[in-house]
Amino acid sequence: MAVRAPSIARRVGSALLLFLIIFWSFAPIAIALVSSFKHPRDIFTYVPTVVFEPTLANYAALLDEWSSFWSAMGNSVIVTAGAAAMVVLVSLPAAYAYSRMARPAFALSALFLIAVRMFPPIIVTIPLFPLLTRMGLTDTPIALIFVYAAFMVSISVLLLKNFLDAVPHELDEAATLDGATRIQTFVRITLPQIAPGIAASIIFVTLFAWNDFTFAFILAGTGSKTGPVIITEMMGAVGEGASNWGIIFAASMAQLAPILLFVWLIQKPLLRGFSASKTGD
Amino acid sequence: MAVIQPGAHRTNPAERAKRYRQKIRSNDRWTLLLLSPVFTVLILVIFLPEVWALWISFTNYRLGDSPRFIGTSNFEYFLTDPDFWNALWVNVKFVIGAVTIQMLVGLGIALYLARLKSRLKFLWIALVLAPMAVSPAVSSVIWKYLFDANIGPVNWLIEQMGFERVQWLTGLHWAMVSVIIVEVWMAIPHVVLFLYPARITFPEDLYEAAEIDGATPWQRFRHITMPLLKPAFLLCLVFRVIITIRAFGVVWLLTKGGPNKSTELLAIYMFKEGFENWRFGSAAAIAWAMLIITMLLSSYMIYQMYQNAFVRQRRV
Repeated sequence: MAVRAPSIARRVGSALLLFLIIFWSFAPIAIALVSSFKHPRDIFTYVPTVVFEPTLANYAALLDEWSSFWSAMGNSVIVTAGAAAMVVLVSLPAAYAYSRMARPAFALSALFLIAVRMFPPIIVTIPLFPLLTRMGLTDTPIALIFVYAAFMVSISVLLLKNFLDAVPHELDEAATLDGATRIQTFVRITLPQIAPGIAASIIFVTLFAWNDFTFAFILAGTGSKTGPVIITEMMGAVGEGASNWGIIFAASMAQLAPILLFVWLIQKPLLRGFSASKTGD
Repeated sequence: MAVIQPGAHRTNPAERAKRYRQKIRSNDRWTLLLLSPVFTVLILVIFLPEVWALWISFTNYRLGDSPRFIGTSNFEYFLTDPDFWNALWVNVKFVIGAVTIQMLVGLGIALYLARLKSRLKFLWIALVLAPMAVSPAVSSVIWKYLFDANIGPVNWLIEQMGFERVQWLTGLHWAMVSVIIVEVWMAIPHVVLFLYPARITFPEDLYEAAEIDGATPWQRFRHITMPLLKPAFLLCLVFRVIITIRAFGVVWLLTKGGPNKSTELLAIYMFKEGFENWRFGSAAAIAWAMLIITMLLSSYMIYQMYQNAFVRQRRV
């Protein structure tokens, strides 16, 4: 017996449901995107203006009047790249050790690794703020790089271990028999095989570090402010007339566009990496 | 290339045991060396500061002063503070509201997407996941505009549908509703990302067989999807509770805990104690209370993750 073709009512219902789902998840972003091309007077209307003359005025004003926004975005780039590099460098050796060398006794140390990851970020700021202030690190990107890396290494170790476990040991052994050293084997044979795992780790760190508000808001000084923090400061400046909704929407889109593009490009490894690890947020 | 001599293994047992022990010891040294960077970072950045926080929670530490031991006064202080109990209650309401809605809606969306046949499916999935890429800062910008009582599109839509305007972020009861809506909006992609990959691994012929046997969609859900999805769903649920309990950023940006502390979550209560009143001793005490609550709730999750990554597959 063949499965019946869905009726027309069924298809219309399904399309309507899809529209509702997409509307719910994407309309807020779309509205912000469209508004960033509106004149502030078109944003400030009770009846939403659907037909309007698109303008780049908000982006121009952002460029002219808000150099602090762009330097904060620069900080975001430094901090995100630094944290991603650090996470990969630190978690690769650990993942390798857990996957290939560690005796069962060492696996217990992973309990600590996983438990520390569960610490709520906000409670860690209470001791970190006085400590970092005393060390004079609040005005440098170093503090944020270390904090972001610390919160992302556990998931990265678990993820990379997962990928390493999937690489057959016979490959290593064959290369070793051919006279390759352990490091040569790792770089030439193993590393290319776990590239998707490394990509997935980088994605998780990037999403977290680029978008984080809590740590950057509390721990970063004037010199190391990141994109999300300056955007919230621009919100505060609306009341004083120093900024307006148009500029804020433009800034929001400038902060969102790179990461959205990034996630879009690596969607597939993300879905795979996530199902493989079941560990990330 | 080394050639293995036929008689090489026939050394006496004591010699062999010694060599084996040496190999193990060298192996262990390498293991320790390779693990040390990760543990150095974790201990320096999270573990030691938290231990120091435990010490200052028993002192009257304020920023700049030197801490003086005052016993358990900080704990007595917040445990008798009505604002703490208010924050706890607000947090419970927030977690129950936000997690229930995000799990149900996220489940529905994941199941819908799994069955969806469309050439643009990749696009629909990307649009559903998009809020995940939005920073709490940008979310708060967008939703402050959407929820604006005077010029916000949400109120416009509501009036078009014939209802009265709502004081979304400033109304005593509506503020909680608003922050839950925003939290749900941000969280649904995570739920979908958890449940969708699990759902698409289920064998399709199970569903076809059920359909041929005349099972209704509800029966298919009840007897096929639910039992198979249960492990992933439970893990996701626990994870979302842990994540939602610590919510801070977006709520702080939307309401600052107001109006009249109606959205003052534990994290916001602690933040104000530390960074507005500068009482770090007392804030550290609240932080440790939050840590203990989180750890109690996370123990199942930690155990599951440990089992998945380190125990289960070794037996295979």
